[in-house]
Amino acid sequence: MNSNNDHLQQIIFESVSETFEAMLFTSVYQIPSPDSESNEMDMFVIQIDSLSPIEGRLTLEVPSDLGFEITKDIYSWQEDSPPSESMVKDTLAELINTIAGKLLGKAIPEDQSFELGLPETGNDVPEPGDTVVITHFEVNNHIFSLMVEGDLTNHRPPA
Amino acid sequence: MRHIIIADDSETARMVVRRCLEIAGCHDVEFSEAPNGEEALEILKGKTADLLVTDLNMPKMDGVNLLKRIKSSPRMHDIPVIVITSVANPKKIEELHELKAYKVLRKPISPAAVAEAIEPLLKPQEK
Repeated sequence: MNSNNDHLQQIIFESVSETFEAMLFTSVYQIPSPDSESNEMDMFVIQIDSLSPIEGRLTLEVPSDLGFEITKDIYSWQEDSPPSESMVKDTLAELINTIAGKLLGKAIPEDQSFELGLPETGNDVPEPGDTVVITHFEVNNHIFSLMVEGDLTNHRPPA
Repeated sequence: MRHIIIADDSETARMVVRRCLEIAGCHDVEFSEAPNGEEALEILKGKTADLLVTDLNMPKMDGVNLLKRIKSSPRMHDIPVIVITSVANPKKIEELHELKAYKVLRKPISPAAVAEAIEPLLKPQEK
């Protein structure tokens, strides 16, 4: 791993960690890549594009159980029935939007503005592209991942 | 009763903003919510607002265009507009202040940050 990649990994961890602490008052831990694929088949997949000045895409893959747990926490959910799937997708979209904003804010010099696309949600796990950095995290005994693709992976620390 | 409009395409984000405003002292307030700038303007056609809180990234009409439309309207230009966005870095904040945004807050927001931003607006209304 080179120093550029070290810095990218560092700001990915900071962005995810700060977002979870601020929105959910909980800590996340970066973990090594799991030995095997998750047995939790149901996943929420949320993507957001970085449009400028760096082109790239962030993909958050969250097990279904964790998605519902996060949504209940944010909404202080009191009802017996679970939140709807659309509420979970909306919550996770807001989560990745915040993570992406933090990540780009750390990657780009302060005298440049940056633009993000609108988050898109689904359930199908995409095939990673050629230039990709995948980081795994653990929170409340669940594992989730953030995939960063495109020119973001060639990021150099601001001078 | 004061009227506050919250514009954000995320229902979750609107709920968080509303909750922060309530914790920050916005009681006896009528809240209206809009998923984009167009619908926020529709609400404003029927009733003016004491404060508009908007996201930037929204479909149909984004927060920048909503801000421009409000600040260029003789009827609406006095409405304070707080922008809450994930893309707020110093350059973007400068751009938004040039467009006459009242405050720019970075997501994720906290009740404390919202309270500080709206404190001057919560003073008793003069008759």
